Amino acid sequence: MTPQAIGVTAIFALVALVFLRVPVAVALLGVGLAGYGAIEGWRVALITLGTTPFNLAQAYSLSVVPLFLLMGVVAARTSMAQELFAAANALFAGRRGGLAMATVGACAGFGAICGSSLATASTMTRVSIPEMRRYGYADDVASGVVASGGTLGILIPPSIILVIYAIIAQESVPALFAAALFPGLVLIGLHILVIAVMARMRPTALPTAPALPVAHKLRALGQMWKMAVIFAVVIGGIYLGWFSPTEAAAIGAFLTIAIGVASRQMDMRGLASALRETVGTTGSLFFIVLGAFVFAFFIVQTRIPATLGEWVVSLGLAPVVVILFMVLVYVILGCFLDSISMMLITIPVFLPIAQEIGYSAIWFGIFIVIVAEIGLITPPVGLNIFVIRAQQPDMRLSDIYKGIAPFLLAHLGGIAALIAFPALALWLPSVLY
Amino acid sequence: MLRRFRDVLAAVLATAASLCLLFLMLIVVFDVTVRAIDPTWRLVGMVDYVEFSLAWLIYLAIPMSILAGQVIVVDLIDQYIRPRPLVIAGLVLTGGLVALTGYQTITPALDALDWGDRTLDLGWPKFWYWIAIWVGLGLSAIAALVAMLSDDKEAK
Repeated sequence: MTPQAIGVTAIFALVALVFLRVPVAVALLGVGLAGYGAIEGWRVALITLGTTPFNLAQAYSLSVVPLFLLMGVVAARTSMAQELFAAANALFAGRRGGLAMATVGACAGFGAICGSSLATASTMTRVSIPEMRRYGYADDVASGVVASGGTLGILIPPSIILVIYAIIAQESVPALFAAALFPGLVLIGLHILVIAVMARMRPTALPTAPALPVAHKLRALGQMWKMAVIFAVVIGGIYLGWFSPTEAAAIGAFLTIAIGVASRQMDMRGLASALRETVGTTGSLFFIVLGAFVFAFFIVQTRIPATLGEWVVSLGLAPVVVILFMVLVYVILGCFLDSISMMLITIPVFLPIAQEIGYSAIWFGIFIVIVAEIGLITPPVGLNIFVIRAQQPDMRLSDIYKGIAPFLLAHLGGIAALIAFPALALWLPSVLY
Repeated sequence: MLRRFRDVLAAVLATAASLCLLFLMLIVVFDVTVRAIDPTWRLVGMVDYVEFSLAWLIYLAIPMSILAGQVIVVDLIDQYIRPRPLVIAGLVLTGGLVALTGYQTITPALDALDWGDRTLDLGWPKFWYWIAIWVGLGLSAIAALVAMLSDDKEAK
């Protein structure tokens, strides 16, 4: 068998194992080892297996991940989400669909600090869905806004998924954070546009909440100072070159804990529980990264990325056609795999192809994250959907699916904008770095 | 009894890993703070401190996540067939592969010890990192075994 044939067989085996409920990390590790052994011989494969854990143990750049995770876990246990929602609501109150727009704003702001779509969707389900229902919003609209708005969290910096991409693709974390800012803002704008259109088409499903007096608006806006301070210090610090990503993450986690303690929303027991939750998530993520390291070594040996890249170039296809094909693959994979697993499996294959046809690794990172977001809201896996359903059991699953459909247009619009205007992602990093 | 052992082991690992995470956060915050006060003050060996605490954090967190059943799996198939045999098979594979990985680390770890490899800043022996790896992978194999046996016992 040629290395390419072994590679293709291994990729099918990997997908089969994952669907047979083998942990994603173990499937990556096992298939990577077996494939490497088949190409280079078992002695070489086992030597690589023995040295890979050390690469993980001495990866300074990975230290960002648990620290940002801790920051998000602590933020989710305080009242920051409620305050953010109140502030966003103060801005949009009095407009038709204003509560839904406020939810998108709050999701984006909270997601920026939290870095996790699931935690954002989970928190905003508790905060904003009861409020929207109270004002007579249709269930499909209320759930669709939260499910889709929750995904904004993984794009807006600081984003855990971008850090992991940076490590696998060996790219700069600050440059990726800078690249994500404008596409993130465009996605927020597109979500608000979708809500505005829906409010015109279905006025009874998105009623108008009463306008608030100016004094109330100012008070509500003032309450979001905690979020504003954390975001300004962490992201401002990185963009302005004051901190490295690791330093920003440590300062952000410390600041979030300090604010939680000072506002009496976090005690020792709460901190211990937050640390435990962070450790659990860290373990499951890094186990996958360990497997992905071995799998990536194997994929390089197959020469599949280079061969596919040369083949794609020889076909003379327009680069945009190749990228659209990748969108299709990601949307299909996203129906079954979680976003980090999907990224770790595909980056070794797709990134070299994207680079071969002229896209930069920074642009591709933003692209892959936006596409991966879609997976969080598409059935049957769509984790954000299940998070909402688990907390609002009286909502019908069919209503949630129906509510998400219009927001898929926002995501597709975001992808189209990124493809049509690569500068959307590339301009800010080119100015800053 | 086995369930109790599983819970205690998970709690011990979570506490130890949490301490590593706290240390990681506090030492970086301390370094940034003293540098802000006076740029000439800096903690020598920050990279070593961060990498060392991160290594222990990672390799204590992995077995903890196995014990707590937090490893990421795609459970779509549960709707169609009884998942227990697949869960057990997954844990057997997990235990087997981490044990094999751990076994394969022995040679490079002992090489690092023999050659006296040291970190750049503080000159710490790199073998110390290998100890974290051995502890983590060994505990991961044990964790998979304990999770498998306790799941099996509960099912019965």
